Amino acid sequence: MATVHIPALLRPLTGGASLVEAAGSTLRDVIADVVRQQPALAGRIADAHGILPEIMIAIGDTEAMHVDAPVPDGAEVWVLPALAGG
Amino acid sequence: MVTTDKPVYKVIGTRPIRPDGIDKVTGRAIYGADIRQPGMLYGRVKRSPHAHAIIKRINTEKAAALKGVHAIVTAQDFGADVASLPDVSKNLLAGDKVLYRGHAIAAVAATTDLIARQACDLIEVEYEILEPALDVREAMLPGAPLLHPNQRTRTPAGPSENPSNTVAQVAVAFGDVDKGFAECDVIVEGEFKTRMVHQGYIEPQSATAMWNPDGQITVWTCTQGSFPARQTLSQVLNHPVSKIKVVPTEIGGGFGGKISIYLEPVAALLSKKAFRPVKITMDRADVFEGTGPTPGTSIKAKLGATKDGKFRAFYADLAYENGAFPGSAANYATMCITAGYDIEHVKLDAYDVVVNKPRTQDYRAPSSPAASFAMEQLIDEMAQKLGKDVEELRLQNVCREGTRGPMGMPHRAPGHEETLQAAKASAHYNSPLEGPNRGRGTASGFWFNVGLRSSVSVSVFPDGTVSLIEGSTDIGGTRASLAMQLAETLGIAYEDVKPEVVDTDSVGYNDVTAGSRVTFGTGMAVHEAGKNLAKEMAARLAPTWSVTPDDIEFADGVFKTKDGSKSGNFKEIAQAVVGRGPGLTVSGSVNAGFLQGGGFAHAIVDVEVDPETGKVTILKYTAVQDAGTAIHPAYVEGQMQGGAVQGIGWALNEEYYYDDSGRMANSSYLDYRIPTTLDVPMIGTIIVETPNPLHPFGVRGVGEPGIVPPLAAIANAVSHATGVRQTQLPMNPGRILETTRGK
Repeated sequence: MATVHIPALLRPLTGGASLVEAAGSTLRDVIADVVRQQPALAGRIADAHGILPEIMIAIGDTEAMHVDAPVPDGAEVWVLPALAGG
Repeated sequence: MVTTDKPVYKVIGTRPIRPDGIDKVTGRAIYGADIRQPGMLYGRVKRSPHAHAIIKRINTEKAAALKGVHAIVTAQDFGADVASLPDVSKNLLAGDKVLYRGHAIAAVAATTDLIARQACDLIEVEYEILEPALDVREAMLPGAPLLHPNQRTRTPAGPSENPSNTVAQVAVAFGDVDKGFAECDVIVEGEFKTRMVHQGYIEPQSATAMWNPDGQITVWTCTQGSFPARQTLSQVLNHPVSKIKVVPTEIGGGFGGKISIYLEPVAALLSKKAFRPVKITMDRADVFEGTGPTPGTSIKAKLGATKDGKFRAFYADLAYENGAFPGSAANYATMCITAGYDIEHVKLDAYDVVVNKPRTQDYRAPSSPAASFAMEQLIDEMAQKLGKDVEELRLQNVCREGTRGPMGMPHRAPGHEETLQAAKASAHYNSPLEGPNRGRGTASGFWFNVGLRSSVSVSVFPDGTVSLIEGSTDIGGTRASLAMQLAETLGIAYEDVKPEVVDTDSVGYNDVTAGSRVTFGTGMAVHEAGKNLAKEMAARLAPTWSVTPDDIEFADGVFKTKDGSKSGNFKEIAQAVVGRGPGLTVSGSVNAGFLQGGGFAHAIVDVEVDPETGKVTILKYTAVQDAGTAIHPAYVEGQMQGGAVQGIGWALNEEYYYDDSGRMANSSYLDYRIPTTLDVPMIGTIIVETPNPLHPFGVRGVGEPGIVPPLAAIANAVSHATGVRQTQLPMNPGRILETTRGK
């Protein structure tokens, strides 16, 4: 199981829940399990093409670049809003 | 410079002249307004004189009848297919409602600029004027004039029941903030306000467009991102991205304000109607009133610590103005305000709020300066109450490797501690400050910095030098910083790399020149291209040396066989395999991700406050910043000094000054006071180098963090000089007198 942190911007879709315990050995599987538990997040984190451009995801302290990234058991997965700057 | 362990480089760390320097100092460089095309028309935009009004009717008949007018466009010319970016198109040309003074309503293309201006005056617009919402806190209240009558607040509990100008509430919590404050011996709190300010780039926006009858659109523009501009054009015009070419010109400053586009789609629509190229250049009032400044803010914050100085709890309520459309930087603020410190219990409530002002945009480290203005003043006040040295207090609570980072996940090599230690050990911090009405202030600041996507291509000339083709527009000297990284990768001289910024048809995708990302992200693409080039050259060399490519090693600019029997430097080998063979071009493309590791900056500033006039004079300013690895130290120093000066202006003088009707009363550089060289001393710099583990040369972005600390550092200095804490910007003479008289 992984602990998935939901960003504040998406919590209106989870009833305010900030954490989801999700199963899966890859990010794709983990996201699918998150969406199974929180259906309103469908299409808000990833779609058929991969992680959405406005979302970034880190596994532990390392950014995941694609949905096939492995997720170790017990990992902390951070779903984060995309950043840019001036 | 304060440097931790890093490799010995040959090119990186030197200070060569910039490739575009001669063209720029001789006036030959082509900026947006320099574009000329055969048969070109001149465009002007008609703007709203009202801050909030319903457009009841637009009559363009008289304007169209004026001799020399070739085309007029309004929002209706966008058609119905802009659903993917409705707010962008409504900001480009207002439809049924104007939401701020300066909101574009229509545009004209004519044979001369004067005729275009006259035609704009002839366009008749009938308004139903509405009361504006101008103050961020008042706009949040029930009963405030609503900009978007159907807008509900997005909250963690779902949409609000009633319409509101508050677009979203972002709630962030770590630990138990009530429990944390209960454990504190000392609590400091306050409400801090900053005003809307402009990036203050010198070059106004200018765009030229040609819409060919075959559907090919070419746009010349001074943008921070030619590829994102192409994407927005495609969506707003509902036109294939492959039929749009954006040619970036030189850019006279952007600082975040030239990421969004304003004129490009309008010029394209005018060109489509007129069958001729159309150029639109803003004047200064257009820039102030019609582009995106940075939000004004209201931040209520509270910090608690134990009596030995350990921060235990922090709370902030952060309200950020969006301007007329949703999308302010309030969410970023929640990720910046405590980034520098290890605080167990944190609760943040941030609000995006629309007001009848221009749609806000990014400005160097968007959101973070205002957040630092609150946080770093509370830390200064906490140090006073605890009787501690403020830098010691920061160091006691500083974030370190593994500390919960700004978004919850752990920090990696944050560099704040090293930056603080360099500041604390500096000659400035350890020098005495004597004399009446003088004070010294310090502050820290953070910005994320990002990586994103970059592509470059590299070709080898027959003489063994190389061309570097890039798509990242060069604002801060990145032609040089990228050429230096390629030279270092290939082991050749900087002068043997010829960098060029090209259009969107001529190189792979590049994200914006923003987020302090080009030297980092495009630098990674350059490094990859260099490695690919060496690999390809080894493959071509192998038959000549009668070995396999795997038998050839490349290091420090020298190809050699593993047994050492044959060798040659890059130039010799390039001349052999390219000068006498087919051409050689390679590319490097990366998605460097969003997380660059972030960067910290610090400021030490001495001020003198004139008790008679209220004028604040900056006596001495030292900027300290972690650059990871300083590729070109002079350019790093320039970024630090530029950020400091912009921060000084923001702190002391700059503001959008509105009257009650929502009219900006100071939309010219005569009345909007940005600092000149007479207003600031030489900004001292201390570059800290804590190499970034996420970059092959250890680079951190340096363009943004430097603007974060000056607001709070100057406020702290003024506070120490006068005994009165300054909680509202700008700290202009009027405000200083108002707050210190009788104290």
